[in-house]
Amino acid sequence: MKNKNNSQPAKKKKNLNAVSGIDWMLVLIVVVLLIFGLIMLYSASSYNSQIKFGTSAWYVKKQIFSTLIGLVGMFVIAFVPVNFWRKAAISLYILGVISVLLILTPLGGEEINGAKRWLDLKVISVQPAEILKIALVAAMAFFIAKFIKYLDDWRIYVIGFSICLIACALTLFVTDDLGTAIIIFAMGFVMMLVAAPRVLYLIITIVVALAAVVGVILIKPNKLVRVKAWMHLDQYSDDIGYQITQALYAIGSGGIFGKGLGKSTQKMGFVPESENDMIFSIICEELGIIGGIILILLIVLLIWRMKKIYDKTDDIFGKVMVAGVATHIAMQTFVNIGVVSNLLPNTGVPLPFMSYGGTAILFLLAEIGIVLAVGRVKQKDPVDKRKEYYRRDKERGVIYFQ
Amino acid sequence: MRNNKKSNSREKKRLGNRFGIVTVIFFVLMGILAVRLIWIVAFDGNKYAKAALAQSETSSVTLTSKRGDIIDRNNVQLATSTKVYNLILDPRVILTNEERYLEPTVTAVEQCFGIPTDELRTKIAENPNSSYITLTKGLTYAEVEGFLDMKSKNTKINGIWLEENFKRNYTYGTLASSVIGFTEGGRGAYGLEYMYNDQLTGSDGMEYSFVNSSNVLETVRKDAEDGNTIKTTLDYNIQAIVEQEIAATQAETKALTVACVIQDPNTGEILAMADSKNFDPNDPRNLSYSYTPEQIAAMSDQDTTNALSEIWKNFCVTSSYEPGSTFKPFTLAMALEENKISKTDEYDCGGSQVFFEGSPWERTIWCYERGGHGHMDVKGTITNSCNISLAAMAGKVGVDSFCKYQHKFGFGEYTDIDLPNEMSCETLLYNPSNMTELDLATNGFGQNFNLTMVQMTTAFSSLINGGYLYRPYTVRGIYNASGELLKSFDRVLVAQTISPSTSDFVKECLRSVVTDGTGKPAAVEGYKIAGKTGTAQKYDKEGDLYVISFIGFAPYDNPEVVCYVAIDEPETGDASRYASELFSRIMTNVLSYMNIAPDDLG
Repeated sequence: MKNKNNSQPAKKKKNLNAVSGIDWMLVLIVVVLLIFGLIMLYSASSYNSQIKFGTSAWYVKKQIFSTLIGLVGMFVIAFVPVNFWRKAAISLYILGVISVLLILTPLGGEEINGAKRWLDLKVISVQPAEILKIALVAAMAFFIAKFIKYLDDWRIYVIGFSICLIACALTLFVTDDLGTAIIIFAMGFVMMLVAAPRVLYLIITIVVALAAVVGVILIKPNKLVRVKAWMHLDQYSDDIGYQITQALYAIGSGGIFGKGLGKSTQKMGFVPESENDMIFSIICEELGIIGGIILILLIVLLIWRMKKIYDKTDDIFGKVMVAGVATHIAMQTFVNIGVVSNLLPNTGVPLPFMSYGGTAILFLLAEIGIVLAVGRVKQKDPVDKRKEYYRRDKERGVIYFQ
Repeated sequence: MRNNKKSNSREKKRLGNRFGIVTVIFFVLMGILAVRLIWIVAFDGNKYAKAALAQSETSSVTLTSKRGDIIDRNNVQLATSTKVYNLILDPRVILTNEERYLEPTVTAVEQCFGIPTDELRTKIAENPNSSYITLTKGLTYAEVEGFLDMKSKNTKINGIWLEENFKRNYTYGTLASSVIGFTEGGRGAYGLEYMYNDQLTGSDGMEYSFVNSSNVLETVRKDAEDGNTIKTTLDYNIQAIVEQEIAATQAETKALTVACVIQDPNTGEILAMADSKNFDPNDPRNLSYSYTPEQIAAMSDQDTTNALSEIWKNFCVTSSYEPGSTFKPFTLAMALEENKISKTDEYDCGGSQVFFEGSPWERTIWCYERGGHGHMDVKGTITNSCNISLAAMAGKVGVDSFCKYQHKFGFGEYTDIDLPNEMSCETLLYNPSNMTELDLATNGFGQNFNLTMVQMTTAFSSLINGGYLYRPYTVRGIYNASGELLKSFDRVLVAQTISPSTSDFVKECLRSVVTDGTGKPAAVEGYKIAGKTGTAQKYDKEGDLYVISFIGFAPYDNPEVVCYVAIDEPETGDASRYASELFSRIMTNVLSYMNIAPDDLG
């Protein structure tokens, strides 16, 4: 009997997970997405790159560089104790807010399409909105975990939610980026949703938010015209609806199986920003909707894997962070593909893992790193495990001789 | 403590349930995206694919470049390109919105170009996937002006457009056709058009549209670069005189070919070059300029092909024949230059000379005067065109020197003239290793080896200009489309053939040919014409066939024009008179056109 008891820990699988605590399945999905993304980015950007820079690989080279740095960062963060983020949450959030505000200073980069969204730090340029997203994940999770017992108090709820609202307001008014503001709101909302007890507060929040979005659209003429173009695309196909019209042409001409990798014609000057927000239309043109649906399935797989990690961990702070990251990826994918397929009005958000953008891929991989770190801690404490075995043995009627 | 623990588990339960619901919602959203994609492809896929195709084919337009002009030395336009329009129908574009485009488009086309609407409807219905159906070709601007106006005012006229093109136009038809050549499919096929094709051809431009970062459709235009203009050394007027006189002689003698080269002996420039086998480069496959309708009707396909290559080729550069007596001054010059004879030597001609006497290959050469020219001085041998004396001179020069001089004068060598398909005749000359005594003798009076007219003219120029052999050429300069000079060509000295004193003596001899000898009919009133007749028997063909020719120059003291005329196989026999007379007529007109002061005949 004693022998049997001793043999229990020895049976434990000595796999990689057990050694490092890293969820290698999640890493695999991410790597597949990254490789898929780089191949498609090369294909979608080669024409524009050739025209702008005289070489077809300009965009993809920069993206490979960012991706490699991002992967290193991801693994480093995966081994940083989750408590670090608890301690750093407030400072990180302040840094995110300041970085957005810096856009208003001379450091703010070039104005593109009437909006400034970049910080030009001479050596590199960064998109503060991406910093803000990761900061929001840490800050909201910190607040919710700390005050989870008091969230039924509407004042605490409002204070907690204002962390999200400040970030939304900043992206909306400083960078004039309604799409990103909506993503940030969704992240904050889901993080609050998983923890807050009062459903009524949540309903009120969503109603107010919807009203705010409608208000912004009605106030800002550049947003209103996009909604009009969305509703009557054929009337706007030469100007404001041009981008979406061309994206639909690309999806339509790709058909079910696509024209073949690299064979898009719409990327040759027809689909604007084919390497960026509109990359999904080129994926569909070259690989067909089969290719598009495989990509969607990969995202589903990624979220499912995050849900696993969410379930495994006991730490509230970790859980809420994972919820935030999963929402970020899911919502950004939904909004981007929704826009490209004209399911939603045009709001320029990039497609995670696919679109060109150094800051976006760096911080996205950092967020994955946080999820991995949370996943590592969630291994149940050995004392708990012994108790579990004890309980199970008891149920089976195993008798212990003390 | 217990309470706290309880609430903790409640929160954990909530955390578990809520995110489960959120995940399901996310999956549903992803499912909606997939359904949406399937929806697009299933219901609108074809429409979008068509629209994408239609726009990608209209987004870039080739701007055709204009081929450069060919002008004469006084800027008279010999060849130019004019803009014409082809009417192109694009059924695919029309069918993208049949209701909107079809009716207005076919109506407009019928109205402007007289193509019945029924015919257009059939074409569109039969070729729904075609984007390029040529309806009419070669329309002028005047013919399309109305349509362009109509199309710009009515956006419902679509799927029909005018493609700009250029048509090669040779202003003077057959004039200088064998020098200029012609184009086929936009590329030079013969003559200068072929030789200078790279210069004449411009580079096509492009106009394409793309969308800039502000989502605005922007059009970029790379203009077409027109080809360069070629300025030839030809003189339109001299060429016209030459061609007119050639035609007259051709009609008179019924010769196979009558040809003429006029060169400036001081530079090597070709002022005129023509043969009677003419064609109109505007319609190069039309044989009627050189053959009678009966002849054309009797031709087989193979005959037609041969006849076409016959009219397209430039006789003066690509055909060779035995020169005959016009070569005699060269033999004289060699002998003088090598000091094998002196100007005061005297010759006796018995009318014939026997070579290899008593051997199986014994042969006799004869003089034109079978009875012999009797006693004469060196000058007299040329004046009388005495074969026996010239054979003797060649014998004195010797095989080695004779062959060396032939090549020095450029016989058996490419003159490097800037015209295609030049013949060097290298294999038709003897070399020291295979030249017998008899060959040397016959070569000495211009038989038994071949040359081209341009070789003869060029070498003769050096004979009378003091010994300077210049490369013959037909292009003086290349200008870009806006008229700037890009490159000019100057005379190129190839060799010093003989000394000026020899040259002077040869000129003296040539003058006496016209005053006292065989070339009297070549005289031109008011000028001291000098030159040499030639009557060469064609041994390579059966029968009594001849090439009769005359080469001469004027003015005597400072030659400005060398003119060489040749009549290949005249029906009228060996009458050298025809060539001399042709020369005289041409020179009379040319000298007066060139305003060359008459020589002091006193």
